[in-house]
Amino acid sequence: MAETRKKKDVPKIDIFKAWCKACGICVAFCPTGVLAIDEGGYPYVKEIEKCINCGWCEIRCPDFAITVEKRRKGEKILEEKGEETGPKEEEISPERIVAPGK
Amino acid sequence: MSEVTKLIHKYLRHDKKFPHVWCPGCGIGIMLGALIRAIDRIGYEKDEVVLVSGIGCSGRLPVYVDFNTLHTTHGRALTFATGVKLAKPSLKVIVIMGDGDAVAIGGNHFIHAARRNIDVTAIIVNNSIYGMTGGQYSPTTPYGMRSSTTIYSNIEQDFKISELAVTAGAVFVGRGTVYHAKLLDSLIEKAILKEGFSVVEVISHCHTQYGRQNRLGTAVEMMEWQRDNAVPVEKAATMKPEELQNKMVIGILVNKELPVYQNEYDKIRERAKGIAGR
Repeated sequence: MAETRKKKDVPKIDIFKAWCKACGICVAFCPTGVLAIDEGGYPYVKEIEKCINCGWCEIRCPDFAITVEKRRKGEKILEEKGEETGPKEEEISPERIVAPGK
Repeated sequence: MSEVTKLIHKYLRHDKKFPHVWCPGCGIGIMLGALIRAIDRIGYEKDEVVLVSGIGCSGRLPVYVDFNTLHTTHGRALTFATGVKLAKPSLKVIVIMGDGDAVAIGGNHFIHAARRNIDVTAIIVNNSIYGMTGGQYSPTTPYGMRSSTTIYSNIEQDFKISELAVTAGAVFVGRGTVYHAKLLDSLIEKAILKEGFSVVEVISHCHTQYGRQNRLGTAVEMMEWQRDNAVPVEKAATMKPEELQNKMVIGILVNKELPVYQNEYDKIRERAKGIAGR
């Protein structure tokens, strides 16, 4: 089914390397083998079209360093819930970048 | 950024040093995520929640989250929590302890808090060893396993924390593993909502100390062990005791009703006022 899916449906996986400690949990427990380990031991997205959007890598990441974003549905959720679900992205990201250096 | 991570970041203290202090792959980080998701699902304000911790790897947890937090002495987290709860019963008090914190030095406080049925939630991260201080054996190190202080093998039997909590009289006891993180979410949520002393035992892994000394492999391999050896409580009811040996039962082990300490204490105060006013 993965092949027939439109490109827009494919989720977006972000790995925040500054917080990642290369434990390998996300790669080991991905049910469809989307992620792989690079030479440095860090995960990278190898075959995004296989992603079934289960979110287990995000839930099991001990360092909150990986995010899975639904492409189509995700946009809808954002529109509906908006402010309530948390701070806006621009509010979070500068802190997130500053924090590891402190 | 996705919804899940957004809400995690809503509760983190970004002025603290990140990435956090725990070893790569440590289960405490997964447990922290589950705790935040559970609190968010209930919908408490940050100021309504108090996180109390003792000493050890798990003692570092309240540092990173933006609730009212207390980092107390070794084994005494429950005593501080009792004080907070009695002084201000409207607060939701959650105690984070390790296995050494909860059942070694704090063992007495643990069983008596359960017996009194004080309305706090105790989350006990059980990694079977004293990880932070160098891998000494703890009361939950299983028989025959190695640690820094039992280099030939442990000759003592281990505590089963959940069973101990059941016997001591806790009204809600749940056990989960960090591998089954979504189960952990719901266990913690139910434990927080439960009135009375509720315990969630989180089976975690210490691959840095316990895993290394016993050659159990990496964090991933130890989580695979959790996956293979955990039995849901519904399935365990249909299994024979021999089959359940060396397995751990996960899920809600006890959920019962008993009078809560704070309510009983208020009643006594009313009665005493009545007698004094006569």
